[in-house]
Amino acid sequence: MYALNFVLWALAAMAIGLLFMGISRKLTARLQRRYGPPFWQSFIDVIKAFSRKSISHNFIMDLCALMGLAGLLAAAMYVPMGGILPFPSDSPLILILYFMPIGYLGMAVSVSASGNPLASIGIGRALTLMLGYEIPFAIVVMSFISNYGTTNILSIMQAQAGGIENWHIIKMPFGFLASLLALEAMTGKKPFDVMIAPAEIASGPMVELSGKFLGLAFLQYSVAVFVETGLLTALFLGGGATVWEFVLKQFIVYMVLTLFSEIYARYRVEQAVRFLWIYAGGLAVIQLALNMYMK
Amino acid sequence: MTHWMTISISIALAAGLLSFALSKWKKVQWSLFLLNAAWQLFAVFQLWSLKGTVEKIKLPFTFLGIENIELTLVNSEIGYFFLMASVLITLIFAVFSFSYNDKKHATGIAPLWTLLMGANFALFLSADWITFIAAWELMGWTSYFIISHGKLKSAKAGLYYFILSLIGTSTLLAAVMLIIQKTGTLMLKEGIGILSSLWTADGSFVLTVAVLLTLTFFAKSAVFPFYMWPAKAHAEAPDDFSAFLSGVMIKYGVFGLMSMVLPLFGASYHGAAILGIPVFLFILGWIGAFTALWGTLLAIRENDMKRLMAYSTVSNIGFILAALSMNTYFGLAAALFHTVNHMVFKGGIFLSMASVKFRTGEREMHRLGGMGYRMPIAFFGFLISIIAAAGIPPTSGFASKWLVFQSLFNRHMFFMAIPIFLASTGAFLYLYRGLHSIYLGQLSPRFKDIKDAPPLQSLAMIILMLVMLAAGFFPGIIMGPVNEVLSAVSNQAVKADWTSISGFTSSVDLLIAGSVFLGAFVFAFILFLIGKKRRFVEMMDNYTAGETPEDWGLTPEDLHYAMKFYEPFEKMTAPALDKINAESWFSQITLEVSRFANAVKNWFASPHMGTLVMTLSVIIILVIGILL
Repeated sequence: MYALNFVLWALAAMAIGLLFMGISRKLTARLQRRYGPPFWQSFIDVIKAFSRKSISHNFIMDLCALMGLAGLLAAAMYVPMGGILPFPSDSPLILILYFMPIGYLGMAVSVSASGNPLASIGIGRALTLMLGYEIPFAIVVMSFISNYGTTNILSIMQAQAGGIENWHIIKMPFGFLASLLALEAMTGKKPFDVMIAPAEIASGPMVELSGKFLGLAFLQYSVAVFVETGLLTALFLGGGATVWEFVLKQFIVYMVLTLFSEIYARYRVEQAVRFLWIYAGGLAVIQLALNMYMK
Repeated sequence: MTHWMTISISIALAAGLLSFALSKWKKVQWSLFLLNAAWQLFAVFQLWSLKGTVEKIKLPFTFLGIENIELTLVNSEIGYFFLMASVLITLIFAVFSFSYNDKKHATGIAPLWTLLMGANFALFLSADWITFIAAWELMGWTSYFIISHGKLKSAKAGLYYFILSLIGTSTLLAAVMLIIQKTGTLMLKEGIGILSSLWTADGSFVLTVAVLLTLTFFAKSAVFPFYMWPAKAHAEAPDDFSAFLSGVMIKYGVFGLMSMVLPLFGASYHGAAILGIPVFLFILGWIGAFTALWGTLLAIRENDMKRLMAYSTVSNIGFILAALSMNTYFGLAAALFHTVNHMVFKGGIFLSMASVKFRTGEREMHRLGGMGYRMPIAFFGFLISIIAAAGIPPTSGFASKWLVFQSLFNRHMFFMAIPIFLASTGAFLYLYRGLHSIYLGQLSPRFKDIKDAPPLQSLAMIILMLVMLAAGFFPGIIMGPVNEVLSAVSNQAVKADWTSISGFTSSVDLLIAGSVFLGAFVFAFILFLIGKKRRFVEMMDNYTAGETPEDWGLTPEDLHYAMKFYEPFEKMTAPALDKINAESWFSQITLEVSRFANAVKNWFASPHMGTLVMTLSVIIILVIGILL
């Protein structure tokens, strides 16, 4: 039963993530007046990646590539799509926040083991950026804890039931803006895409990945998109009574992020961290102070 | 046999002295050390069912008006917890050291370390001030000689450590004198108990004692502003001893804070408080949070692997201190849990690094690289340890970090949690940097033929790995003993069973969480099997934009990106780190003192000044005489 839940949830998370990525590519293309690939292009990419021969450098690269996807999939199990959790838990939010890093760590170790300096530079930047966006997001989470005294994502969703005026996007606008900025960085969209920077460090972490390793990285990113947009949806947009409503809201969040991405140029990594700490962090602290005061 | 405690301490001291005599036979010395550690573990298991027993030795001396003083040992709950953890971990270190100290790497510290184990035993069980101070002194002296271990550079670091210890010891002596005079008893617990009820009668006196004791334990535990010594001492100490220094010795301060400073702020405290926390502890909490942050930022820019991990230790002590200063049973639980967790994972990290140094002799991270391909057991020891250090499930680290944050949230210390969260995330940066620079990246041709760690060293690391994973799935292994301490100290306990822990905002079942992760791993593995086969290529067979590195004369060492790994971030934090630097403050003080002393010396050197000084003093004496 649990195994079935797990497989269903994992497949759904990957499919939703890949679909979003495909549509966002189409949207980007249209903004740039290109025709763009079909919206199922990401699925084709993954299938193709898995069906090609690939190279590996050592056992650490193999093992930690798996660890990378596993961490994100474990986090996806705690995204309450449509108010359902496949594995009942009292603290999904904390588990998500701690499972996601294991995914990133796995990815980082895997590509470091390839021995390519460009990959290591990319990982160094990604981790620095992580320091930038995790802090504002953690402060936002703390403002929820200060309000409700719980990290149970389901009860936070229930507190928003009964119409748009109860959503936290209305009740906690500063927190929402802070986490939107943090999310932009989490998903690696411009202006926070310095760790990928294709023209500069040849796609950074991805530089040595081929065949199924690239496929695993693709899947990892798609699950990450699912988890991160899911977090914002559940925390600020009232979650969703049905799976469809939830996914639709996630979709809107991701499209907003994509649109933002298209109008900004790239920050250097220390600029990005400074921006996130000052603006996103400042907004989050305001929200936390407000919540503590109101309480 | 009833006198387990006295006998164990005597055995350790005797074994240490015997070991001095056997300095020709190094392996015999280390066998003695190993046997002593095993005996201590046996004795500790015997003490399990003897909680609360007291052993006394009468001495025919009079001290501060107290006749026939007694040296007393008591098997208290907190002491037993620390003793158990420290003895267990030391046995693992002893196994490692036995293999580490071969002909080439022998340091001759075995006798001192054996003595130190006796001091360790006495310190945690001492029930009166004299025993405590004696054990504290023995611990300080032996560890100083171990850190120095006959090398010039190490001797410098040892001196640094020793002088900071002296500050701690003198404040400890002052505090103890004050306490004994006020309370009239040599017993530790009774003295503290009497003091804690004096808040209304003589609040400033109790506060003075609290400050003095806190300074002692801060100096030992390397809390701000004493955070610089681990970077020197941990780095220069013998490699296997660094694990003990960082895992066990740094906790003496935590033990002292728990058993001597916190009880002062019990139910009878009536002073000022912020959100229910006494102001003194509130400040302590912020110092802890700041220490956590500072240690992390300093670790991020460190290139020497042992110094990096020393700063990481400073940072972890900050976590423990912040949780402790919440003054709740939950904070105590978090501090105890993190203490044990830190012992285990920092032990794992230092042992793994020691075995790398055993094989390569290198300490600078940029000169290493690619060790993971040749030393897989050391690599996995390091990997699991840093996962535990970063607080990620399924390792013991998750529960301990979670408890720390829960204890802060429970007291609404959200703003204090911000720097701690920053430190916790920043830990990823330096931990990953260590992993990458030492174990991943390009393998230097110099280390082409390196072998994995010897069997006994590997055994020690594997045991530590298993402990971390086991406690990750079943936190009850650590939580059970922690709850026993809690119920003895505060009659409360954290709701927990073998697999889950309940906090205030949520409860987690780590067995389920860990299983979900394992399931996800299996799922990813199936995907990996579905994909078309991979083939292995050489490390230098890399994407380099169409160029062949060999054509340019590039070696694998050049392609290992490890120096200044986080340069942009380092640049960002450098101004603050350079400005708030306790070391330069202390040297500023030294400078001012010596300048003043020189000025005074000059006065007395010149005859004119001498006449002036003499005249002035005569006038002052005359004036005082007239006034009186």
